[in-house]
Amino acid sequence: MATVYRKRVPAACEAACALRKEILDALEQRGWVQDEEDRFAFWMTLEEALANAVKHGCHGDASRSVEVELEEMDDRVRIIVRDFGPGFDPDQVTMPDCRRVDGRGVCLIRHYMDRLVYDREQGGLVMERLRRQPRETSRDRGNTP
Amino acid sequence: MSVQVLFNTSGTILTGTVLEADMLDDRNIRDFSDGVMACLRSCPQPHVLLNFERVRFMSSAVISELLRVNEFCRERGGELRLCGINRHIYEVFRITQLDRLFSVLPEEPVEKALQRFERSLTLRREAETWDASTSRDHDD
Repeated sequence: MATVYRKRVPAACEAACALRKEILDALEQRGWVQDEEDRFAFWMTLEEALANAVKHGCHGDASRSVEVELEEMDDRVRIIVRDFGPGFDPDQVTMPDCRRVDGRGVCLIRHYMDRLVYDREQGGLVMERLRRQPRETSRDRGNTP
Repeated sequence: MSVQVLFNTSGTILTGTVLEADMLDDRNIRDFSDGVMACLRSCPQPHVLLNFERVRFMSSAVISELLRVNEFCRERGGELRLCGINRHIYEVFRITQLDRLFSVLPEEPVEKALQRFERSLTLRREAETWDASTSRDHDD
């Protein structure tokens, strides 16, 4: 895996949103966003992972930091979110039923990523998405004149 | 990015359209929630249709707010429905199994959702009238 991006920001909502946009732009420039489906998957993953890091890892304390690193291999991109807190096991988080208001973020990340673990060595939440095959469009199928 | 919710009344249904935000996230969730609740607090029985046709992205924090608004409406004998949900956001509702709770359809235009909502309220009122009249007949 080669690191292609790394940035640390204060653990605050505005800074995290700006960071999310910057990472999405980087993913797009590096060819990981082929279509709206990819864009939505990365947007949701980054939004939920950063919100978790700010709220739960750093308890909304803007004097603390959140760091995001992007690593690439041929067929996959890895996003590591570090909040320098105690960490958590995402496998222990299950989808709540509709009576519970909170707790869906980690389950959504699990749906959009191909791998989700908390890596003690990396010191952060590690999320990987495999490169999707280019999707066939109606133009490819010859349906468009 | 700030967010506004513009409300219109059609019969007994309050329709709120989310404006000026293509993404609802941690930054504007409070604006969204305050805008919706400010309007609903004045309704004795809120039947509410929220239109998200201009929203491309929606985080789980927004879903949490929708669950709170839904609870507020139900406690007062009303109902919350959603429309204009794009297929990506619809997928989020499906994954979280909240598509059942909100009776949401992908990319349903506000006009159709409003008609569907009005029909369901009419049927409910007719059923209540019917129940009331049959219980009167039994009493007689």
